[in-house]
Amino acid sequence: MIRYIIQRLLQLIPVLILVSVAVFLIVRIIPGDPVLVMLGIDPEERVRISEEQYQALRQQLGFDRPIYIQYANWVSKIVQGDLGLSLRSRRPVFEIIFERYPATIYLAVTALFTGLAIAIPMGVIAAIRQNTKVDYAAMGFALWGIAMPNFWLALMLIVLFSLKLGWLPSIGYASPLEDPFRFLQHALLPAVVMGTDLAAPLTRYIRAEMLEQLKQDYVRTAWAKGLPSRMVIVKHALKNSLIAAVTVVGLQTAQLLGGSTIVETVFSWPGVGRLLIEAIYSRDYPVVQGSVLLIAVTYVFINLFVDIVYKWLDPRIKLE
Amino acid sequence: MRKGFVLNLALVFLLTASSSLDAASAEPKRGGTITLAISKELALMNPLVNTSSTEARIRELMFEPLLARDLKGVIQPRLAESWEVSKDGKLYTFRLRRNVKFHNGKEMTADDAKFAIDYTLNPKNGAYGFDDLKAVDRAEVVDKYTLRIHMKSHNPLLLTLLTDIRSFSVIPKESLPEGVRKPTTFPPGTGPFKFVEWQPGQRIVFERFADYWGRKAWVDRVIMREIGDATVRFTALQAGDVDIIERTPYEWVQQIVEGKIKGIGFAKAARAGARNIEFNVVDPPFNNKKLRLAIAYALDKKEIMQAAYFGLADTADQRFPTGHYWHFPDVPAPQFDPNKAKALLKEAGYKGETLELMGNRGEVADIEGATIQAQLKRVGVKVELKILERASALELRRQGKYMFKLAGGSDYPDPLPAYVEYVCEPNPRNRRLNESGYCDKEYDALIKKAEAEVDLEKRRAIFKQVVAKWLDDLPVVAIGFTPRFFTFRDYVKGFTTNASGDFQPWGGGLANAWIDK
Amino acid sequence: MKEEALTRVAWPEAETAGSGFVAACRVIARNRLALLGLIIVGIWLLTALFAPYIATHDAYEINIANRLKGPSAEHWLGTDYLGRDTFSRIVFGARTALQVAIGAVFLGAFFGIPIGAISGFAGRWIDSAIMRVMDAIMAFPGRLLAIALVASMGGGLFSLYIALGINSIPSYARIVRGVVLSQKEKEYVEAARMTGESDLNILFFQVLPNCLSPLLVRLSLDFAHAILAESSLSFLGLGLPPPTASWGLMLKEVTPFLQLQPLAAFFPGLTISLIILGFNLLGDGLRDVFDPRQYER
Repeated sequence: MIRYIIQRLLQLIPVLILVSVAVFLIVRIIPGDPVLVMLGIDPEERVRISEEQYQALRQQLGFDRPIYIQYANWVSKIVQGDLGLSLRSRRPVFEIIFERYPATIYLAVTALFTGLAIAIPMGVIAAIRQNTKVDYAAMGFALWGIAMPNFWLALMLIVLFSLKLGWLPSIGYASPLEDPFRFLQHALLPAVVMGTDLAAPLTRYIRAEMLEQLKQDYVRTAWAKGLPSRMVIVKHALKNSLIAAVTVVGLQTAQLLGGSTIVETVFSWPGVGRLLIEAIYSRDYPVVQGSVLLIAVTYVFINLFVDIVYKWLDPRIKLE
Repeated sequence: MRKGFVLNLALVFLLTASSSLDAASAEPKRGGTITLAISKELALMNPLVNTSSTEARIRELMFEPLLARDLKGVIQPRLAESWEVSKDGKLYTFRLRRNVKFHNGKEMTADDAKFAIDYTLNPKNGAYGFDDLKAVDRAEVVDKYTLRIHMKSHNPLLLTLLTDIRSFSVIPKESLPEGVRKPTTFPPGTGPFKFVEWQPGQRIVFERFADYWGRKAWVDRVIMREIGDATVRFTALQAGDVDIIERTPYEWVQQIVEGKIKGIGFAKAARAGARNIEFNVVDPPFNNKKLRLAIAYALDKKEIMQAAYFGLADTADQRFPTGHYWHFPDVPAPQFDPNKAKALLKEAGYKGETLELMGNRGEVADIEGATIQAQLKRVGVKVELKILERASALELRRQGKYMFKLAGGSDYPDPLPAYVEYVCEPNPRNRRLNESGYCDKEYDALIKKAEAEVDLEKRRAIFKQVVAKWLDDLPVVAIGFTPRFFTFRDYVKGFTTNASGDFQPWGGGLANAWIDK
Repeated sequence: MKEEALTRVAWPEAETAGSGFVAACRVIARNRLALLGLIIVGIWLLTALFAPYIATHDAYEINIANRLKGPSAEHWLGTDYLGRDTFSRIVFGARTALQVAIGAVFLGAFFGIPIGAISGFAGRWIDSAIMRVMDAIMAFPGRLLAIALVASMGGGLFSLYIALGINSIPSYARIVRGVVLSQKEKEYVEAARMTGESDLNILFFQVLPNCLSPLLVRLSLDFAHAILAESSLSFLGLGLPPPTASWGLMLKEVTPFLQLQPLAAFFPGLTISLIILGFNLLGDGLRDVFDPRQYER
C-alpha cells in the first residue's frame, strides 16, 4: 500500500510539471498585453499609456526577459511557496486565491450533500421497486438530469424561485461561518443545480449496483424471509453499492472543487471558477497560473485519494 | 455660507425629530446606510493608477483633485481656492485651501500636492495621469499653501484636466511607494467619505468623514457591492438587497419611464458613452473612402439605438450632441439612404466580399453588431461579426489588424481631446489614440492651430473646419450617445449624477443623498 | 464530464461485437427507449440537413418592433431580443450543433484512438509518458483552453473543434488502451506474431476491431457531450460569435430579458435537453447491445 501511494505520488510530478508548462505558455500565447491591460480602462475608452511608461513597467515586471527565465523564476518561487503578485491588484496571488477558494469549497460540499441526498434514496428505492412507477420516475429524473444543460436549469430555477415567487435571492453570497442561514439561502439554488448534475448519473449507478447486489443468492434467500431481514439486506447491499460508487462521487467532487465557471457566473458566486475567467480576461498571468495550478493539484490529489480509499474499502481491486 | 447651511440643517433635524412631520420629507435626514451595486469590482488600492472607469468613480468618494467642474462645465475651486496663470501659459500658481484634513487627521499642504504630481510623472509608477500631465515640467512648493506648476509647453486644457480625478488626486506625501508594488490599503484622502474595508468579491465599505472641509455627507455609511450582471443588479434592487444601482439595463429603465414599475426612481447620465463605427483606413477594403461612405449611408442609426438602448439614446453625427456649443449644425453628415448606399457600393467596386466587423465583448456589442449586420445585409453587404474580449481586441486595434469596428467614446470636456484622436500616428502598426490609422496633413495642421488658439469664437471657427474634414474623410461614423442610468428605491433622496455618470460628482452624488425611511 | 465516471467501469470482452450490426438493430428496435433516442437523433439530423426548408423565417433578419414576443401564429415559438424568429433560429441551431459535434468528436477520436493504441501496444516508458500527458489534459481546466483559443482566434467553429476535441482525447485513448492491453496477451495475437506479421498490422487488423463496441457507445455519448459543451461555452460567450444561430448563444442572448419574456429562454434549453436525451438513450441502448450486464432495465 505504501509503495503504491509513493508510486502514485511520483507519477503526479510529471503531470503537474506538464500542467505548469502548459498554463505558462498558453497565457502568453493568447493575444493581449498584460501591461496594457493593467493600465487600460474600460472597453469604451482607449488606452492612454505612453511608450515610456510601458517600457518602464515591462522591465519592472520582468516581461522583457526570455520566456524560459520567466518560467524558471516562477517555478523557483512556487517551490518556496510564493505564487507571486497579481498584476492588476498587486496583491499576493496566494491571498487572492484563498479569498475565493472557501466559497467554491462551501458550495461544492453543499452540492455534494444535495446530490447524495437525492441520489442515494432514489437509487435504492428504484432498485428495490424495479420496473414500477417509482423506478421509472427515478430513471426519468436521472435521464432528464443528465440531458438538461445546467445553466438552463439554473435560469429556470431563478425565473421560478427568485423572479416569480420571490422566495430565494437570485444571486449573492454569505460565508456559512458568519451567517449560516443567509449562506443556505444563497447556496440553495446553485447547490440544487450542481447537485442535480451529480445526482443524475449517480442515481443510475447506485440503482445498477443495488440490482447487482440484490441478485446475489444469499440476498434472495434472505429477501424471502420477510421485512426485518429485508432491511438488513438493503443496508448490506447499499453499503456495497456505495463502496462501488466512491469512484464516481470522487471524480465528481474533484470537478466540483475546480469551481464551476457556469454556475458561479450565473449566480454571481465569488469562487475560483469565476476568478479564473476574470483573471484570463485581464491577462493577470500570475493569478491564472496560480489558480490553474491549484485546480490541477486539487484534481489529481482527490483522484489519488479516491483510488486509495477505494482500494482500502475493497481489497479485491487489483492495483494497476 | 456653507457652514451656516450645515448648522441650520442640524437644527432642522433636531426640530423635525421631535415634532413636525411635513418638513421631514423635504429636508435631508442624517444617518443611515446606502448600498450601491456597482458593475465592476475594484482592482487596486492605488488612487493614482486606474484600471477601469468604475474604479475612478469609486475613488471619487475618498479622493479629490485640485479643481472641480460644476454641472455646467465651469471650473470651480476645490482643494485649490484660487489660481493664476502666467501670460505665456507656462506657469500656474495655485493657492490651496487651508484646514483641509486628510482622513488620518493630518492637514493637507502643498507638499502633498507636489508628491502626487511627482508620483504621476514618474513613468515607473504607471500612473494614469501621466499622459494628462505630459506638458508639465515640474511642481514647486512655494510655501505651505502655495503650489506652482511649471509647464514645458502651453496646454489650454490643463485646468480642465485638473478637475478630473484620473489626472491625479491629492494624497499625503510619501504615502505611496515607487514602482508597481502597490499598497495594501488606500492612502488617506480628503474626500467626503473615508475607506473602511474591502472584502474582495463581496463589498467595499466607506464611512462619512466628519472632518470633511466641504459639506459633509448625510449618510453614515456607503456600502458598494459588485454585481457584474446588469439584470441581476436590477433584480437585487427590486428585491431590496441594494438601495441604488449603476448601469441599469435599458429595458428596465424603459419600464420605469413608462410607469410600469413603481417605487423606483432614476438619475440619468446623459452622455456617459458614445458609440461609433471606426474604419481601419490604412488597409483594404476601407482605405477606399467610397466604401466607408457607402456604409455610413446604409446605417439606420435610429434602429441601432432602438435595438441596443430601447430608444433611450440619441443618435449622433458628431462628437457633441445637437444644440451643444461644439456641435456644428451646418456641417452635413451622411444620413440613412439605402439607395445611395447601393450606388456607392457599386462605385466603390464592392463585389460581395465578407467584411469583418470587430466588437468588444460586453453589454451591447452583440446587439449593435447583429443589428448592423442585418442592416448592411439589406443593401447587399456581407458582414461577419468578430466579438473579442477586450485584451485581444486591444492588441488588434493597436496593430491595425481589423477592417472596421464598433468603438466607444466618452463625454469630452472640450473638442480638442475629442478630435485630436485622429491626428497621424508615428507608427501605423503601433497605434495609440488614433486606432483608425487616419493620417492627413491638413487635418493635423488644423488641430495644431486649434491647440494654439485662445479666442473662443476663432477656436470654434477652426473646429468647424476640423469637423468638416473629419466628416468628409470619414475615418469614423458617429452612431449615438449612450446614456447610463442609476436607479434607486424611492426612499433614496437627493442623489444626482453628471453627464458622465460619476458616483460622486462635485456638488451631488452619494454625499448629497439621504435616506428617507 | 458527467459520462466520464461511467466509462471508468471496465469494458467487457468484446466478443459480442461479432454478433454484428443486425443484432444491434434488433435490440435497439426492441428497446423502446433506445428507439426513442434514435428517433430524436434522426429528427435532429434531418432538421440540420434541411434547415432552410423547415425554417419559417430568415433566422438572421431582425425586427426591433417585434422583439421578445410570445408564441403566435406568425412566430410559433415567439421572437428573441432582436425580433428574430425563435423557431427558425432553433432549426438553424440544429445545423450549428451538428457541425460542432461532428468536428469535435472526429478530432477527439482521430487523435485519441491512435494514441491509446500506441500507448497500450508499446507499453513501458512510452505508455507511462503518454498516460501522464493524458492525466495532465484531464487535470487542466478545459475552460482555460477554450478561452485561450477563442481569444486568439476570435471564436468560431475551428477553435471550438480544438477546445472540445482536445478535452475528449484522453477518454478515447483510455478506452482503446484498455482494450489493447487486454487483447495484447491473447493467443491470436501471439499467433500472428509468430507468423511474422508486423506490429502495426496486428494492431490495426487484429486488435483494434475489438475496440469497436465500446467506442461506438463512447461516440454516441461524446456527441451529446460535444453539444452540451458547445452550448455551455456559447452561453458563457466563449463559443460561436453572434449572430450565429446556436442554442447556447440564444440562451445567453435572452438571459437579460428573462423577466420580461421567460419563454424566450425556455425553448432553446428544451431543445438542447431533448437532443442530449436522445443521444443518451441511444448510447444506453448501444451499451445494452454490447454489454447486457452493464445496466439492468
